[in-house]
Amino acid sequence: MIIALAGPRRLSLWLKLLLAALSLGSTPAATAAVFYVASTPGELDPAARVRIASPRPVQLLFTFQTSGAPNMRATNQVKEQVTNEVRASGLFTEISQAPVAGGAVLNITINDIPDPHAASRGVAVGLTLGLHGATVTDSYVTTFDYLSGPDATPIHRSVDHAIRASVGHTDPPENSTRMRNAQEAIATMIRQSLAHGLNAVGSDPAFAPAAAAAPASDPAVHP
Amino acid sequence: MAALAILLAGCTASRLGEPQPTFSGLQAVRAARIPPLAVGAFVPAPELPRGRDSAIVIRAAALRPPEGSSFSAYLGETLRATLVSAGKYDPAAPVTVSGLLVDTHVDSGFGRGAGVLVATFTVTRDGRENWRRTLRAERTWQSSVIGAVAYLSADQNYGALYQALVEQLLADPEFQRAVRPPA
Repeated sequence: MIIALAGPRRLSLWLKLLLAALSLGSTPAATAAVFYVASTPGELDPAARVRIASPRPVQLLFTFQTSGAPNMRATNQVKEQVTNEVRASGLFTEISQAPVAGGAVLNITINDIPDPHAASRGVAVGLTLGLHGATVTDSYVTTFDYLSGPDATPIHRSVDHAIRASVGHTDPPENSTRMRNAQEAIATMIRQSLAHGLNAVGSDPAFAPAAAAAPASDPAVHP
Repeated sequence: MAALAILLAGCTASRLGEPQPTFSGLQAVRAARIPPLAVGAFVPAPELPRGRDSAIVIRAAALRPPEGSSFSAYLGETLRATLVSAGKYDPAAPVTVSGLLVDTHVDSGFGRGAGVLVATFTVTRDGRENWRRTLRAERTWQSSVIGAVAYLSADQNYGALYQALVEQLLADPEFQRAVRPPA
């Protein structure tokens, strides 16, 4: 099942290994991986989206990490989507990788924490030709740090999310939404994490004291 | 086992990703009140083992710098990306930071991986050297018995050494004094 290896380039190696291990078997059940994203935080309710009266430009820095270590290849692969999500938030007039007037900086880090047992589970599934199913989880912690200027106090928020991959004969994971493929799972995780996190940053009184109708606290976001 | 072998083979020609500016690096420049700097040559030191500037071996697989680059140049590019992110990179600045890559290696044994990056940095003002120091960054990580997993962990953690060494440089009080305008 070499196709499975070539597809999800953004996945952690643990998930890739799981897919590789599955290829040891040859049955359809063994070679089909189904991807899910955790139901929480879910999509941001449009009614909860904060509106900023006077958006400002921002310098965007982004790093994708794997187990806390910078993963530059993954950073480059998802950077465009991250930039687009920041733009879609409506919090800023301009998004640049270079310094901007006023010195505002937004730093976003997505840390992928892979399931440490994914490879061994995948081997077990492969060796049983898929009769022994398994679900592995990659947890993702997205952190946001915003500085309104060079000497400003940072606003810090974080959002937890997860992508699960089921292989072989196993029940679908609970509290999860099925995706069409790995790419959709990654894109959905990023979109949902950034929407909630950016909205929380924009809702902070220190971000824009004149923000209109700041929404109630989002339970999906941690200070 | 064929697919797993293909996966493993796919890991044997990896290159470091292009350096990206980091929040910690930007904060380090801001906190140190670093003035605009030029970045000079970053080259291998004479004592660096032959070939080490272009590849290191992790579990019998090579890790290389970005296409057309070298590990020593990568260190300079990491510094430049950090200065650019803070608006403190100026190729025409009177103060230039250069570097010699003295040592770099990775140990990716079973259970524990470790990486080392050692470089000598030089500050010149108007062409005259006024500061030089050798700095060392180290990093350890969990290293899997599975070669492909160990390789990727080593790849990512090794890449992080470059940013760590640059931030160590920026935090050095003597370096800060050397690059600031004379009183």
